[in-house]
Parts: sequence; C-alpha cells; structure tokens
Amino acid sequence: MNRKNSDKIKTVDEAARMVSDGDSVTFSGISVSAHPVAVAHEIIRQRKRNLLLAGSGAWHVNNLLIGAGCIDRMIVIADSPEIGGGAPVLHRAVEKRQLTVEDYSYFAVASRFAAAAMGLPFMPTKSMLGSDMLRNTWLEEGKKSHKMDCPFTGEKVVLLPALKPDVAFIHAQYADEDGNVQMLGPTALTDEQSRASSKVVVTVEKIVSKRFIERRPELTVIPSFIVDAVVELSYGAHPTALFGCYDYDLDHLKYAIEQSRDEGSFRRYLEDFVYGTANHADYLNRIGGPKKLRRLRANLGSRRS
Amino acid sequence: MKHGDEGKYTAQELMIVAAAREILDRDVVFVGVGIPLAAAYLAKISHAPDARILFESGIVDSVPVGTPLGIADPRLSYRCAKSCGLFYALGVLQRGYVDISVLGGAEVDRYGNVNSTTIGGYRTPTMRLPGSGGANDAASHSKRFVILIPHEKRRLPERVSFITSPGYIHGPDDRREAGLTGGGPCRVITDLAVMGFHPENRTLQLESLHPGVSVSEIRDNTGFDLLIPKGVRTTEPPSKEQLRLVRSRIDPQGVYTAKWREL
Repeated sequence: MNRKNSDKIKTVDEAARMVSDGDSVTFSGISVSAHPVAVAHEIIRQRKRNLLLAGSGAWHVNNLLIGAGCIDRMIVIADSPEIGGGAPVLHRAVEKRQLTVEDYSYFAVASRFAAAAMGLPFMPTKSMLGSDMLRNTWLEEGKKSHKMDCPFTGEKVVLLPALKPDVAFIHAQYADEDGNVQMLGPTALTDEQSRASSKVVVTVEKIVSKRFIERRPELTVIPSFIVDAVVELSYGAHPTALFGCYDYDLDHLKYAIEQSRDEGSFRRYLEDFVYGTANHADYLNRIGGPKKLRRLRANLGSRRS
Repeated sequence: MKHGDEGKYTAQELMIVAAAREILDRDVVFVGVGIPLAAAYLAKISHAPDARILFESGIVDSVPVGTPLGIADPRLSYRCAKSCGLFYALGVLQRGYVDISVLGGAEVDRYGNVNSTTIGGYRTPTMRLPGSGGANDAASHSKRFVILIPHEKRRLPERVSFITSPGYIHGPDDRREAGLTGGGPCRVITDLAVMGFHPENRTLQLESLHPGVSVSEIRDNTGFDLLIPKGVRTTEPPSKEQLRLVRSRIDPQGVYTAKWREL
C-alpha cells in the first residue's frame, strides 16, 4: 500500500480560498505561541468578509482579522496581548458597532468545541455560573445557555450548545502528506477545535514522512482523516513563537501592539505587512529576512530529521 | 523608589511578594500572566518549591526559565511535567484540583467580583476589555483565589460593571446558590494594601497597609465603604532574598513592573 493523498497538499492561497464570505472560522494558537499568522494574512489579502470568529485565543490573528474588516461577529474568549496594552482593536470595533460580540470563558468555549468534537449537541459545565456572561447571549438567534439541576446528583450546571465552525485553521510543527499533525509544547484548543469544525486547514513548518509520524505517535494531535488541507509554511506563526522551532519576535510583537492603539496606524501596519506583501516569503523579508529569522531559531536541538 | 536600590522596592515588587506569600508549598497553582505569574514564580523558587504551577494553554507543573511573557511562552514549556491541551488543563481546574489561583482584572468590587470584560454597557462600552480567558474558570473552581489590582477609586467600585469572574456575587450565600463549588476570593492585593473578606458577610476588609500608607489614603482611593477593623497591621516588606530573586531571576528587565499601569 503506497497510496498518496497528496491532493490534500495545498498552497496557502488555495487553503485560504476554502473559506467563503459569511463562514464561521476558528484559529489555533494561544498567548504568544502558535498563531496561524501566515494563513490569516492570506485570508486578509483575499478580502474575506462577514466572517464569524468562533472562539480563538490567537489575539494577534484576531486583531489582524478585525482590523482588516474580515470579521463582523465574534465569540470572544480573550483578546489580550499579555505584554501590555488592553484590547484597543476589539474596543474600536465594538464601539463602532462593526462587530457583534458574545463573551465566554476559555473552558466554556473548550466545552462547546468538545461537545461538537464528540458529536454531542451540548456540554454541561460549572464555569460561568453566577457571572454576567450568561446574561449576554445575543450573537445568534435562539437560546444559548440553559441552567439546570443534574438529574442524578442535583448539582447546578449550565448546558452550552456545541460550537461547530465551518473552517478551523491550525498551525503546527509537522504533518505528513495525509494530514497527520504533530505538535510539541502545549496544544491549547487544537484538538477540540479541529474535531469540531467542518473543514480543517493545517499549516506546518515542515511536511514530514509517515514514518516520521509513526516514530512518536503520541505527539500526533490530529489524525489524517480529520484534515482537509496541508500547507507547508515555515515561520507560519511569526511573530508568535512555536515551541522547538522559534521564539516570538518580541520587537515585531511590540511594534504591532503599538500600531494597534490607533486606527490609522493599524491600517498602515496592515498595508506594510499584509496587503503590501505579495505572499509569506515577501512578508518574511519585510520583517527582517533570514538574518532576523536566524536570531529567532530555538536552540533546543532538532528532534530528528 | 528606584528599581534596584538596596533596601528600597517598588509597589509592584511588594505586590509580587505579598501574592507569593499566599501560595503554600505543594499547592496546585493556577495563574494568569504578568504580576500573578511573577508571584507564582517567586513562590516556586523560594518558600514553595513543591508548588505545581498550571497554565490554561496546557502547561502543567512548570519551572519557568527566564522571564515568560505569556501563558504559552516557550520559557514555561522547557521544564514542565506535562504538556497537554486547554480542555484538559481547565478540566483539572473544574474537577477541583487547584488550590489557589492568582488573577488580575480591571475592576474589583466589595464582594470580590472581578470585571475583565467591559466598562459601561456590554453593547456600548466606554472601555472594552480583553475578556475572561481562563479567569472566570479560575474564580469559579479554585479552592481560593487572589486578585491583584492597582488601588484606584475607579477600579474598586461598589459594583463592577460586569461580573466576568464571580467573587461572592451580591451576598454570602450567592456562590452556593449559583452552584459554584470553588471557595471564592481570599485576598485582594493592591499597590497600597492587602485586603481580605469578612468571614460572615463576605465583604472586603482591610488587613494590612503597605509601609508608609495611611488609612485615609485607602479610604480616598476606594469606591465603597471598606471595612476597616481596629489594629490594622503593616504589610511585611519584601526580604532581601525575595528582591534578589525578583530582580536577578524573574524580571531583570522590569517587564512586569513597568507595564502594570497600562493594563
């Protein structure tokens, strides 16, 4: 058996075209790590519109998509750069009514993805009880949460509906041509959000052999049958970090945060680094090229080739 | 006070040390980034070496290296006992394994409710904030939690504009009635004082004043009628060793301390 599923191998341009205007999308990544930045850039270059950003903690990607006007609805978990500065992009979009938001806790969103990932219609949780987040469910028509007493123990829980995005965008270290995806370091929502979504697009630092995957199967986060497209994009998470591969580009992150404080300067940031770059290679040259990238390389020693 | 001066310390350094003291050895600790992370880091490398620090990104039992800037910083992953996903990490929290969480926020009220979602109306915010992240989960499920916040009248209102992370909600029985199983907030630590909660009515009360701070300064900078018991102590200043660890290992660049006011 030597069947090749190389029809899953796509260019980033093709991968971004898997999203249609009006779709719901979710992105992997959290904090300062593993945001699918390169594919988000391409979505912006293709000027996608009216997307629902459904549960993404990848704040840099979130801000790029909101700032570029791709998003008009958002299931907010957290939009914080952590290294200072609040949430100015989110603030402007909500204030100007460009964006309808609905807030959840991180575990609540994870639970909604987990329900969808297992084919269940809802998930009970004890998160968000007593908070005002349960009072602000206006994003979609219909009831979005239901409090009840457990029929077995009487404990109070809230049921949250399964969250099923149209497309999940994941960035990881490795995948084979079939789409078996391996990650090093914490995986945040990657597992649940990919299983929850109708289509899964994975960008990776390196496409590897099936044999490579089989040597450490415990590192596989997503098996091939869940994945629809695989794109090789090294430094695809820049300016965020990817464990074992490269550190975050702190100068660039700080610059992006600084520019995001003002609408005009953030538009210029998008012009300089997204609309004004033809593709990912062009972007990497714009941010400092091979010299900059060499400085960011992780010095863990490579795992194996 | 100049960063690094012998015997002197900044308000932020005192907050890091005061929050670190809340963490006991062998505690399972959940923290957000910034000063809360610095506090857990300090506890781990000083009085609580067997504390297990957990991050929502999926990093379990980490010994931080360098100065981590976020809850998925590779500097937290180099040395950790388990690397996993968020559903697992926060599932552990909901299960009740976490002894203490340390959180920040934009507003805290007299019942220890925390707002990190919005100031003003939800649809018409005067200031839209970053959102819950794992803070609501931590406040809901940890056995106890500590809140760190700058001591300003606007940040300590009678009632927060939006309850992102529930404290005692609006009264002593409200957590139980809501179905929350975590124990609720135990301390609010500011740049002026350490506050706790009255054991019966569960409202904030002054516990200790930071060195050089007066009761009237506290009253002037608090947006509600804070309980002030007789014989309020002075907060113990950081030890030389604690300051050395903060300045040489945890935050040699002053990253956490410099950014505080902007958060």
